[in-house]
Amino acid sequence: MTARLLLRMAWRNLWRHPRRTGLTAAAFAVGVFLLIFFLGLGDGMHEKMIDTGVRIGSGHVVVEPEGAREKVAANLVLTPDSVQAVQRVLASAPVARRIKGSAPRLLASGLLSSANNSTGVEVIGADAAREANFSLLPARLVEGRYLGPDGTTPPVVIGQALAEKLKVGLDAKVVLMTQAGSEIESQLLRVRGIFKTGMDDVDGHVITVPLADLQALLSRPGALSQEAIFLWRADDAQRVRNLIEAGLHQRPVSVLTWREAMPQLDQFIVVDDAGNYIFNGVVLIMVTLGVLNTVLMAVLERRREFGLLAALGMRPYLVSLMVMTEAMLLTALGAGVGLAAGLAAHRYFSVHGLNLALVGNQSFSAAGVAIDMVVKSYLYPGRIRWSLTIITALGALAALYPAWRAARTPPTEATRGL
Amino acid sequence: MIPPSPSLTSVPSGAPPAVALDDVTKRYQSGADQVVAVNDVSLAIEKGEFCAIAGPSGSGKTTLLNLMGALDQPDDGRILVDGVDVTRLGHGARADVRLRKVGFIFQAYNLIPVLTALENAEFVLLLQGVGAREREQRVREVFRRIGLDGLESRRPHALSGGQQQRVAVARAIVARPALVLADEPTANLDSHAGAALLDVMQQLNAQLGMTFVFSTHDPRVMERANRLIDLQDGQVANDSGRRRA
Repeated sequence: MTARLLLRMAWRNLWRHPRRTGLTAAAFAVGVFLLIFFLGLGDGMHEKMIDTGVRIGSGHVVVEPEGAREKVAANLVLTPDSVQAVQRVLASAPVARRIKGSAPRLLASGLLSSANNSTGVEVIGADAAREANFSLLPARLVEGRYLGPDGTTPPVVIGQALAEKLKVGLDAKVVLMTQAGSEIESQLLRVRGIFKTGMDDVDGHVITVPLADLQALLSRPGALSQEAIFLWRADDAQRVRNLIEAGLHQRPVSVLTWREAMPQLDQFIVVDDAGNYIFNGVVLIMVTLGVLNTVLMAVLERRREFGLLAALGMRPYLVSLMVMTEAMLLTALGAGVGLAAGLAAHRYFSVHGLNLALVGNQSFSAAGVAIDMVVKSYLYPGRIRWSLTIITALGALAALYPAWRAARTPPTEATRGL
Repeated sequence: MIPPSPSLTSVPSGAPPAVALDDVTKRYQSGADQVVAVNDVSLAIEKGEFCAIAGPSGSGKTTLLNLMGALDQPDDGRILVDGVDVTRLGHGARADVRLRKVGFIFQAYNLIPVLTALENAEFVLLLQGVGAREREQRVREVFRRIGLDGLESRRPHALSGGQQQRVAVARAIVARPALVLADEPTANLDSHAGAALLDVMQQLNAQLGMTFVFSTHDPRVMERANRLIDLQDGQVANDSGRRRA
C-alpha cells in the first residue's frame, strides 16, 4: 500500500516540472543510446576482426604439436596417433554441436621464384574442399579460382602483392623451393588464383597449395602441422578448447584458443574495449550528473514539503525511498527511450552495416588483421543485461545524496515562516 | 502498515493530558547570540480543550507548538504527548508519535501538491496502514462534516485558500488524533473564510471532543478559545486555565 503511494507521488512529482524532467530524461536517453550504439559497433568490429583473424589464421581453436611455437624451425608435426585422436574428439557430441568444421594444414616456409624475381614465403598446405568453407583466402580471390584438381602442374594461390613483386599473373609458372629434411626440394607450380586480403603480411608472403602436394614435396606423407577448428560462436572457444584438451589428455599436443594463438589480436580487442568502456563511462557519468542535478534541485526546492511529510509521521527511510523512486523512474524513462532507440539502431546497422569509409576513405588494419570498413553492429550476449545493470546502479547512485538530504529534512521545516 | 515503535514509553494513567510540558526550555543559536525561544514552560492541555496560544511575533508560539507536536526536542524539561514521553525519542519513534497521536494544521495549508484533496486527507491513514475501504469511508465522512463534498478529486492548486485549509483540517482529524495543533490557521484566510474555518474546528471540538491547540495573534480567534495562554518572550505570561462556556 505504501509502495503504491510512493510510486504515485514519485511519478506525479516528476511531472511538476515536465520540461526539466523531459530534458534530463532526454539526456539520459542519448547517453544510453550512445552506449548501445558504440557497444554494438565495437563488438561488431571485434567480431569481424576475430572472424577475419581466425579465418586467415588457425581457427577459433587449434590443435598443434606440443612446442610447435617455441621450435618453429623444427617443423614439428602431429603424430598419426594424435591426428586420429583429434578426429575422435571432434566427432564427440559436446564438441561436434559447437563446431562448424575443421581444416587440416601443413605449414612450411620456402622461396618462391618466378622468371623475374624471388622471395621468401610461408606455405600453407590445405585441403581445398574443407578449407573452402572456412578460410578467408577463397573468399578474397580477385582473380582465378581456389585450389582444386587441375592439370598436371600443382596449383598455387598467391597474394596480389606477391604477384606484383614476382611480376606474375594467372597461369604463370613459379617454383617453390623448400627444405625437406636435410634435402632442398623444389616444385613447379602454376598460379591458379590471386587473393587480396588487405593485410600486407598475408598478401605479400603467404601462398597456399594442395595439402597432398606439399606433403609429397616435403616427403612427409600424411603429416599435419595443425588442425584448425572453426566454431559457430567465437565465445565458445574456451569451452571447446577445454573439451578437446580433456579428450587429448597426455598426448604431445597443444590446444589453443584464438586468444592464445593470436595474442596481439586479443590484446588489441582488450585495449579497444577498455577505450570504449572509458568513453561510455564518461558519457554515462555526465548524464548521471544530470539526473543528480535534477533530483537534487527538486529536493532542495521541496524542503518544506519534505518537512511536512516528516511532520505528518512519514519515517525518514520512506522519504528517502520516495526520492529514490523518483530518480529511478526518471532513469527508467530515459533509459527506456535510449534503449529502444539504441536497439533500433543496432538492428538497422546489424543488417546494413555502418560504412566507416564515409568518414575516412582508407582501409586499415590492427594487430595484423584488416578491419572491414563496413562495420555491422553486434552485441555480445549479456550486453543488454549488463548495460541495464550499470544504468540502474547509476540511477540509484545519483539518487543517494538527494535521498539522504530529503530524509534529513527536519519536520520543523513545515512550520517555518514563508 | 507501520508498526508502533517498541521504544514508545507510555505513562500509566487513567486519562493523561493531551499534552503536558514540564519545565521545558528551547534555545536557538542566532549568529553569535543564543536565543531562548521557550523558557521554562510548564503546562498541561487536557483532552477536549479548545485552547489558543497568543502572543506577539517572536514570542515563541510556533516553537511551543513544535515542541508539543514532537516536531522538535527541548533542551531541558520533559514533554508527554497523550502520556508518551517524547523528550528523548529518536527520529523514527517521534515520527510514529506524530503519525498516531498528533494532527497538524499549518498556516500555509501545506497540502501535498501532487495529491488530490481526498488523497491528501487519507495520507496519514495510508501511512498508518488503514485499509482502503475504511480510509475512504472515514475521509468521506469528514469531508461531508466540514463541507468538502464534491471536491475530492481536486488538486490543491484548484482549491481556494479556505478550501485548502479545510482539507488540511480533514487530514489533521481523520485519524482521530489525541491532539490537533494549528499554527495560525486563519492567518492566510480572509475574515469570512477564517470565521468559517473556526466554526468547523469549534464544531469538531464540541461534537467529537477533539482537542485543539492553536497559535494566533488575532483577537477574533482568541475570543473563540475556551482557554487562552498568553506567551511573552518564551514564557507563559498568563494562562486563563479555565474553560469558557
